[in-house]
Amino acid sequence: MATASSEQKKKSAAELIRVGEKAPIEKSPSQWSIVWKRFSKNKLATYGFFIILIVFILAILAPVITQLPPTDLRPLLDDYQYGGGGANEMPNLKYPVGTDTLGRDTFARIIWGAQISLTVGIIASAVSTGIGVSLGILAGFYRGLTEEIIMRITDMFLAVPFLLIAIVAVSFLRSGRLELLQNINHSTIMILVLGLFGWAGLCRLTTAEVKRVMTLEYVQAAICLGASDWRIIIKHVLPNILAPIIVITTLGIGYNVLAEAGLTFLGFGDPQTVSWGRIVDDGVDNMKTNPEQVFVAGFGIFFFVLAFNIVGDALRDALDPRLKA
Amino acid sequence: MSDAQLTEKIEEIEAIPKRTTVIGNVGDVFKGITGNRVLIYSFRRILTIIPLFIGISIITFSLMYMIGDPLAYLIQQNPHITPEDIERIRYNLGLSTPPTQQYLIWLWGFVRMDLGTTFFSKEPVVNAIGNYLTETLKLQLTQFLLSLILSIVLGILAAKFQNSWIDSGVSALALLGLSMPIFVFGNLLIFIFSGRGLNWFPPGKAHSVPVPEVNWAGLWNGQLGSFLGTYFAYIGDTIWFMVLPVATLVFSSLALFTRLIRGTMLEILRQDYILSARANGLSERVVLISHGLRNALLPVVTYIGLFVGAVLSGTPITETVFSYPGLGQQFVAYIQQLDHPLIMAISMIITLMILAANLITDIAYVWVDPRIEI
Repeated sequence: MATASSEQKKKSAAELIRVGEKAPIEKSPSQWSIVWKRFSKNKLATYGFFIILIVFILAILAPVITQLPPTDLRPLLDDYQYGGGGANEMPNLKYPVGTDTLGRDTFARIIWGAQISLTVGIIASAVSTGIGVSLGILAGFYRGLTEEIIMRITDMFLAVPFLLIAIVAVSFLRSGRLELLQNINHSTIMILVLGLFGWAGLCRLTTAEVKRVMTLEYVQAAICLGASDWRIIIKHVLPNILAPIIVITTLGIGYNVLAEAGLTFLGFGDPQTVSWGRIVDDGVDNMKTNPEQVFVAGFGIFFFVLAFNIVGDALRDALDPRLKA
Repeated sequence: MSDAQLTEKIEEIEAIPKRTTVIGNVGDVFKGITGNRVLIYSFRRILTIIPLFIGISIITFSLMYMIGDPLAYLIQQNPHITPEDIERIRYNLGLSTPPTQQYLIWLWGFVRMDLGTTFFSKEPVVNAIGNYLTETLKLQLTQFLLSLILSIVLGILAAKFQNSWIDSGVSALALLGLSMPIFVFGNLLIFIFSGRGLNWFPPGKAHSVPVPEVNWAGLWNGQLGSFLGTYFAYIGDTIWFMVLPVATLVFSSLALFTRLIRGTMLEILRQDYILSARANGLSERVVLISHGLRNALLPVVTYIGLFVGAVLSGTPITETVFSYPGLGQQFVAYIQQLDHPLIMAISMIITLMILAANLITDIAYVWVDPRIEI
């Protein structure tokens, strides 16, 4: 057996080396399959990935899973027959996480809240990645005055006390003073604020990476061959700076979920829109008697952000082992 | 003139004390300044702060100005108010001029260290927020020092025992702290340590009511014992109230420095000079502290500015959870009142602190590491 396998190995090696009528059968593994192999070896990261997947499915299936919409007050009047309803009720079979002060089903609120938290986290992260990467590429590619201007703006956004400005900005967007902002909803406000104030770090990183890649031979060769700026950026620069961008974006989703929850916890959300921060904020007054109102949603945020942090770290290790923290 | 006279004359001339420093030679003074790289760098760096500060203040001012009219509530509450009254109040509050002019007046006031008067309580802004500022700084400095010390210890331990249970424990702790929302962990601590069962720490505020008075007069009246007793009672009270907020903040901000120090230490422990230090028979403590830590602290310096920014802008949440009378909690209240001078003062003081932290960081970095080109 051993000899057979070694013979096979020899043969396949010979096939690889041989240059003739037939192309070699074995293809070298692609970059992404290597990354996926490294990623799936990390057990913790797979758990994190599954947590994220479960939250996604719960959020999408919210109308199917929950009996009632999150702002429905019917459970309050539900306590006369089978039990379970009423205000500030403890967890029971009918309402797995109990009910809140106004008699709303906390479980339904948590599941529906996942939708808002997820949407805000992901889209805000996408917005800030879009702004940061495009400005970073502009700065790193064209250098000179462009870089100077973009870097000074980046410096300013890096020095902004984020939460304070976010509070002011959310209050402004919510005030509805401009005609354009009359019918803006909670998620859009949060996406705008988190997206527009969160791109600076990524922009600086992208600029540095683009500058590094621009000095490499293959980019110089592309320039010599007369490739257009657009082609160089898309085909040669962007694929080679993708690793840190993916990592930062993944970590940014968790960070944005935290920031949205923090802002709504401070009372700068919309009382009618349910998100995890709002549920915690509503439950804090009853913490002594009904701790589940605070901690189920609170630990929901915690585990969700933890999963994103774990996956982000694992992605960094998988994409570029040199970056390992 | 004889030889004796000549030598006497020469001795006389030589006896005149030479001036070592040339006063009035501008060129030398200038050379002294331009030769000092740290000084030049600091000067250049301070100049870059000014446009940053102005930019941030313009953003804040215009966003704040667009939130709404500070007088709207007053007008709504008093249906009999006349337009002349409104005009007079606007004039008195400095709201009758166009916004650009208001901003310039505010900026000129800030430059002269005059933060203006509050809209509602009509007292100088400095008096209104002075106490809150000290409370916030007290809390943040304590947590900063504690988390720095703790993360240095944990980072060194994790690097020393790489891939052991200590290492994974430290990494897990850092990851948990990074992912935990401050308001959930703070409420958890309140729930455990001051809610049901354990009644160890107060759930909020910064001092007990009434605040324990310090007998300052005892210092010069000869009642030193009384002074010390009351003083320590006061300090003890402060610490007792600070335990939970500081624990929350330290837990959430441990990750940054712990990970950084662990990573740098791992890299440093592989270097040749560590090997030679060990080969020379130095004790493990000396190797880790004198040779390892001193070099590992260099990258930490670069992150202090970032850290201060993250921590200071996070104050509203912590202070709201613990109803701690600090700047952040007040900021949330003032936003709802739309008290323009107070909002501007708090956000710009915090911005200035962040900018100063970044500045000191950069200067310290250039000063510590002579290899850096400026």
